[in-house]
Amino acid sequence: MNAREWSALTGADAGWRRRAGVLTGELEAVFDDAGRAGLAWRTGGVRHWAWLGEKGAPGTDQGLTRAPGPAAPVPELAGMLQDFSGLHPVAETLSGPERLELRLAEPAPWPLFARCDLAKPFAARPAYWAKRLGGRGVAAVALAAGRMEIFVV
Amino acid sequence: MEGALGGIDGADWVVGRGTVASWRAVTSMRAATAEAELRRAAQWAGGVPSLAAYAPARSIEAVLSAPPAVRAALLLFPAMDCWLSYAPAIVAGARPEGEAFLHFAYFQSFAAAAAVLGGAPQTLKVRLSPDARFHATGTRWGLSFPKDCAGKDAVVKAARGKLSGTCGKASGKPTLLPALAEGMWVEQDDPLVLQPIVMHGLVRNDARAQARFVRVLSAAMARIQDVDRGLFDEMTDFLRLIVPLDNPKDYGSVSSSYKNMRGALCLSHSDDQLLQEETLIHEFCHQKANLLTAADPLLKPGQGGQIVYSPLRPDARRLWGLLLGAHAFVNVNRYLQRVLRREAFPDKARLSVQANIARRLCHVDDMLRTVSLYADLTPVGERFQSRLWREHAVTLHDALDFPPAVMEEGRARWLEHRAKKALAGTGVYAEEAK
Repeated sequence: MNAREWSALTGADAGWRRRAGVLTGELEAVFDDAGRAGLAWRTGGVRHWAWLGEKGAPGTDQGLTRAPGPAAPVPELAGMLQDFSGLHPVAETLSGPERLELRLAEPAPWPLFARCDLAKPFAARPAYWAKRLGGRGVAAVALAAGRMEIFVV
Repeated sequence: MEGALGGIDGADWVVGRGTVASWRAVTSMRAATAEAELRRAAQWAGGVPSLAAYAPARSIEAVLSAPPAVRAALLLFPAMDCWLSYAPAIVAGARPEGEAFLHFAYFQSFAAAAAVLGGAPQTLKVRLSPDARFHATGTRWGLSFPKDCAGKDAVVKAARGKLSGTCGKASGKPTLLPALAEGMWVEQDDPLVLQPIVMHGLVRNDARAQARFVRVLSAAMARIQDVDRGLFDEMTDFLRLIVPLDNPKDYGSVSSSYKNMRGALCLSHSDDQLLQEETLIHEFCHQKANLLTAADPLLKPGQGGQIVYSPLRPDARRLWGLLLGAHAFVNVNRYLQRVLRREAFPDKARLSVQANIARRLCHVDDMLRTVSLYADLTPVGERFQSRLWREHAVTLHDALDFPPAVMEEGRARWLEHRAKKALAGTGVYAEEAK
């Protein structure tokens, strides 16, 4: 999405709109199940993200271990990830000490992502998320610090 | 994704996905059919002495022996589709000899194009058009001769990137058709292209009008590329010609496409770029669905005559028409919603586009419902329909931020039409019953 779309989707303030406006390439909006919104961008093949209204260094996927397809770090998750990948094929799993991220082969439209068992953390407020995200695509989903994050295109 | 037809699934044909394997499988299938038809025509023409002046078998061979990319481009070129559609009647002896003569004389245009695009160099005896032109049909190149050469024979030399010709002592002046995007250009003169266009009136724009036409459409194609790359890639792979139409009654837009000229799209000028984008996508989707029928009919045979209520028109339509309509409007709605998200519009313009989408969402819902209730589909057709529903659902979600009044107005207009033309909540067309 472009900076205009990103701003409208996240409700970013003027400072963040300016920050997004100078970035080149396609942007992503990142949300978590606590309701935080943020900006994700790429620099030289590395993805970074930052949460609106929060200070500190942006997140980055640099240094995460990459594996093709859905790769569960613990057996308890394996079945759920396989089921999910059957609905929305996972192209790559990125993992690190505090993070597990699934990159989808194709963005899953929100209404179709939302039906998945994996999306349960977002299930408590279906109308809120449906109104906010419309039919936009979820390009990646991550578990980090006890939260679920989605990267929206 | 794997279907029984070489990876053609049906679901993957609903929205733009680019020129992926299934796309290539279908276009290759069509090119192979065209090649077989061309070989039949060559065989027949080789045995007709009156056609010898234009050496038709040799010219056809020039196309078929061109490098694969050139051959494929020419076999799928809309004017070739049209030329081949007339060929069976000629080969069957159902047309007068003079018509056969003209038909094969015009084939020289494709032979010249094959040479210009990289095939073997050709020196060709050709027949100039009634306005004294020669078109290397399948390229943007042509030659314009003095008016007194109209309808006369000329000699044309064609080689990679080069085209020249003489008619008596006169030399042809090179002409180049204006391009809208890579591989797609505007054509308003070539008789091989214009002959089947009967539904709406053609217009021959002067230089100024053509520049306006081209400017809006070039910008339209550029935005389609930006907003929906997969669709753009399919469009520029398949759509080769845009033919300008007249719009004497000043409708918003007049457009058409022809089943025997796949890859050409006819439309009138509008300064409204978004309207042109909508029309380009709408007509392209019809052609794309028709292209898929080269591999699978989608509807099982035996339902061609069933007519049903259409939310789009005052008259009844066939089931196939509803499937085509739903496919086109799912794509148009999807596209317009993306443009609305990406770009700033004045409030009035935004509301106008939203109102258009709101009404179309109801139309798609209605058309898909009728197809689901009444049509028997092939397995590919079932998957096509199922994905249409899904994409429609996504566009419904994308309309959640539309003002409720806009949605309600769209729904009211749809219901008003339905009350007049449909039998209660069914798909039955009811005008005759009332």
